[in-house]
This record gives sequence, C-alpha cells and structure tokens, in this order.
Amino acid sequence: MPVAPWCHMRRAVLLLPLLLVSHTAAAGELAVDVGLAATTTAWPDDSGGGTTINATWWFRSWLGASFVGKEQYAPVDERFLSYFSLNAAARRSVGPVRIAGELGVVHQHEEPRAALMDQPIESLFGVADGTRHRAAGRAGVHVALPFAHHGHGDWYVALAVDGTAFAEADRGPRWMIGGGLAVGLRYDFAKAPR
Amino acid sequence: MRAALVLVLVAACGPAPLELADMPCPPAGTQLTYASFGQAFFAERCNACHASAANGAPAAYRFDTLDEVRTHRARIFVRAAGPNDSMPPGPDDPPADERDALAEWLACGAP
Repeated sequence: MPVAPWCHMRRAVLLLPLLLVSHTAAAGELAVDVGLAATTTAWPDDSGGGTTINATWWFRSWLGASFVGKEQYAPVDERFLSYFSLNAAARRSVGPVRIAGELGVVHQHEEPRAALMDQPIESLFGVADGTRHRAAGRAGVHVALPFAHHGHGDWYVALAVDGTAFAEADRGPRWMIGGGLAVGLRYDFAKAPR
Repeated sequence: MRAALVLVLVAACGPAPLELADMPCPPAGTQLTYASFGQAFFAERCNACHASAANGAPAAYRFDTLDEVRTHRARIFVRAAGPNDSMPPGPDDPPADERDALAEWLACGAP
C-alpha cells in the first residue's frame, strides 16, 4: 500500500529523539535534584513557595535537556501553582562548580484553594473546573556545587534562579521570579559498570 | 509531592470558605434584583471571562443570563461573595460592600 510522504517524515520526527537518546545513552549524564523553592510574582504581596525538582539529561558535557517541576503556594487568592517546564540547557564548569543556563517553555496550573476544595480529586490531576491553564517562557540559571563523590558521579547542592513570562495576564500574574535550594545526585553513565 | 503539599496546606491554611447554606436570606428579604444589581455586577466583574463571547472560563460556567447565574449560585457564592474573594483572579477584588450585596442577593435566591 502506498504511503504518503508526510508519513515518512512523521516517523522520522518521532524516531529522532529515540535515536538520539539511544546513541548518546552510554555517554550521558543524569542529574536530579529536589528541594525548596520561593517565588514572587507581578501581583503585589504575592510571594510564596513550595517544592521543586530539576531533572537534566546531559547528552554532551555541555548540552542537555531539563525538566523543571514546582509545586508552590502563593497568597493572592490562596493559589496553588503547579509548574511544569521543559528546557534546553547548556553547562560550563568553573572549578568544581557546574553552571548551567536553561531556556524553555512552561505549562502552569493555577488554582485557588476554594476551587481545590470543591474538586480535590480533579485538582490533583489538573482537570478541575477551577484550574487555570497557562503558558509561558522560562529562562534560568542552575549552579551545582558537588560535596561528595561516588563511583559514577557526585552528590551536589544546587542553587537555581529563574524568571517566567506568561503569554497573558487574565488568568494570573504576568511574570514570576523564583529561586530554589536543592540537593541532587549526578550519575555519569559513561562510568557505569558494563 | 503535590498531593502531600496540598494536604498539608489545605489542613493548615485558614478556615473553609463561607458557603451559601451558611448565609440565610434576611427575614425581610432583599431589595436587590438582577435588574438593579446582579446584571451590572456580573457585566463589570465577571463577564470579561464568563460571557459566551469571552475567552477564558470553562464553557460550563457562563453568566450571560439570570438562569445561568442561578444554576451556579452556590459556586459563585463560595468564590466571590461576602468574605470569599478568590474570584475574580488577582489582588483587585470588588469592594467589600459589593461582595456583601452579592452574598445577600444570592442567599435570597437571586431574584
């Protein structure tokens, strides 16, 4: 059966990330850190905080892709902020310190406590009626300081700061600035036992 | 992570919102009507997002007509009436006297 040319293109696009990951997996690094986050927004008196996770896969020593997740609380309207971000990351080492810059896209759920209490189960899955879905761009800096080494990498303390600019201001503040302090583990697969 | 934070904060943060069932209509009723209060309130405070032609609020929560407002009376009360101020979004809430008037009007059945 003949197949339209765009089908081949779609397959190629879908398979490209898999090929890239499988090709670089043996030499890649995974760094994951978990910690506390603080944030302030464009709205007055809207500083809050919560938890954060950063998971970065380093394809090369300097190039990676990261996922940043945050679950935070902000006082205006007693909002819960669920923050999901995918980023391109570039890294440079200065002595023992690893400094990474991140540029990415964000999807954030904002939900007042009243709405959360109204539909708690739906809220946990991001499908409640009161969940406001927002899109944004993100720029951030992530600084990792190793404090203990293991056979395949190290443990580190991470300090991260970022800025988030939203596409609209009807559903929440136009921008957010955040910071976080976390503890993480870096695992270098090139040093893993074969 | 989210579930744990939500549980802690919901348990720790303040009282539950005042509900419609907790707010009786005054014995003498209310002088407020949709024509004298509700229509203007929703047009000014809510319908930038909650009108059928607007973009933003879920389609199930349109407030173009009195019937639609009455359908969601309890939910509107919990979000915007009296001491409840999580709607409209942001720090610029309607003044307390307007939210108290909305509470009274909704408690009396939104006449």
